[in-house]
Amino acid sequence: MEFAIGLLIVLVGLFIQLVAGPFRFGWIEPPVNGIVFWLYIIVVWSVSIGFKESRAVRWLGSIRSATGSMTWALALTLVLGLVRQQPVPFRTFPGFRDMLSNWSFLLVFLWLLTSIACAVSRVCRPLTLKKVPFLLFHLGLFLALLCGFAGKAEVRRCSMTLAVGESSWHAVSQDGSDCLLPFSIELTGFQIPYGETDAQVPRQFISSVRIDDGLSSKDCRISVNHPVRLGRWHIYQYGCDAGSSTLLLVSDRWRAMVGLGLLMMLAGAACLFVRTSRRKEHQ
Amino acid sequence: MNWSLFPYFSLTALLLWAASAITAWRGARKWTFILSTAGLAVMSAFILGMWISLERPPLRTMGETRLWYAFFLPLVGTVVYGRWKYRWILTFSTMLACVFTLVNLLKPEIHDKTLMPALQSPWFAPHVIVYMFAYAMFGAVTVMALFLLFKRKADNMPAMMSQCDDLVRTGLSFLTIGMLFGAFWANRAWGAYWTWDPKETWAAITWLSYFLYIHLRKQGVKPEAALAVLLVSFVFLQLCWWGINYLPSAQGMSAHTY
Repeated sequence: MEFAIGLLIVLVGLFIQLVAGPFRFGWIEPPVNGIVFWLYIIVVWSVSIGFKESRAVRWLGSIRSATGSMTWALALTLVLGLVRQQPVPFRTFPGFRDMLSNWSFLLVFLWLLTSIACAVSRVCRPLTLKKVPFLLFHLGLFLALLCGFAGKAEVRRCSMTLAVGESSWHAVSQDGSDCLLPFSIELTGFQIPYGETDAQVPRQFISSVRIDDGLSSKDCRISVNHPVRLGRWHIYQYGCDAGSSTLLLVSDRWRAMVGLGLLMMLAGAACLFVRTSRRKEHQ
Repeated sequence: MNWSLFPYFSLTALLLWAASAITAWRGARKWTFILSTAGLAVMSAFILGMWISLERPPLRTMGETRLWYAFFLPLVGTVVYGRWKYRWILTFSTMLACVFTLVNLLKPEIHDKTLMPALQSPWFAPHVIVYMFAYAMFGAVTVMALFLLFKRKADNMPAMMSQCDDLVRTGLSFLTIGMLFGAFWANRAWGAYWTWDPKETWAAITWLSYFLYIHLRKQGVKPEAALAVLLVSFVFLQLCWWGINYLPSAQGMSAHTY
């Protein structure tokens, strides 16, 4: 039955893809993404608790639904891995070259997400200490997937290339459009220290910058793996070319929530290992 | 320490591990542990020497990665033997360590001493080492799956499947932790935990596939079907590890090329 349901979901996705084109994250720009996030959480949890005895909720929280949704999620992720991804700005069918905007892919992951929610809702009653690893892992995965999806609509990733002495309030978004920043960045220096024994290999790329928001300014150094935070923006050392430095600027309000989800998964995975070892010792 | 000394250290370690595998078959557990530990000490002396002389953990290239694989396989083999008493596990781990060592001996890769900037992160060493553990566990369980599918009679199947489950659970914990370490590192370096880069996509495929095995076992599917999922998962693991270098869909698309 799970195979048929998965197939139906994929076919529905393909039909929507044919009629409406790929999913556009622009459709859920703020505040829509926040409304979708809370609405989904309220609906899925209230239904899974309020209608816990219904056949549909019992099935969604069952192991059969878990294996079914995982199999289909695996199959579509395989398509993502095997087909070269080259998103295009026009309508395509079946849309396998842009799986992250493919309706079938998103609907199958929605099934997986709903299955996790229903399984958690079933397992957590009554709540015991033994169930904590399961809950941590599954709730963490739920949070990371949902926030990753909702947050994608308002992530801003821009780049700025500056030569030493230049400053700018403008960066370039991924789609090539202009992005006006709430501060200006001036590149006051750029260094590439090399390894001591092999002069051909750069050891680090270091940009010295002055950031000015119109009221105050501050000097800082940005290097690979050492970003700088300024309000909602994080600034990363991204690249360099002939005396100029390229900085990556990222604003993503949902990232902290995704990080929390991943931390919960980490704790759950650690518990899984300890529990497996203990179980064997007991045997 | 440099690669020119590798043949002496690696061949000594391999001889000790081979002797330990033989004693395991003969049931001389004390000698098994002594010989195996001695082999590990020899290999770890080489790795430590390389670490000091390179002034960084030797974890950057495929050659150095194989070095850790050749170290961790017998280590995990010894731990698994100590805890679960599989006599075959040390033969398996020694054979795999031998393969990785031979590749390094026959094709020594010469590398720059300086670690490139993107790899200079506190997440680097834990990310790779934890993954090595996961790969070793999955390597072991794959051999077990092959054994159960094609050789073993069904008389002791439930117990053997339970041992497979334990190996997968342990490997999956390591795989998840390694993947999450990678996500935290990516966030620090590129401003995103996950970008569906080809390497990340295949990591997700591998991860989903092993989780599918765990859930299928809970569902109570036939052992043969679950074991087949294990074999397919191991193929995905290989594609994720080195196969994507040859996948047309991933050419020039991955940021995970160093």
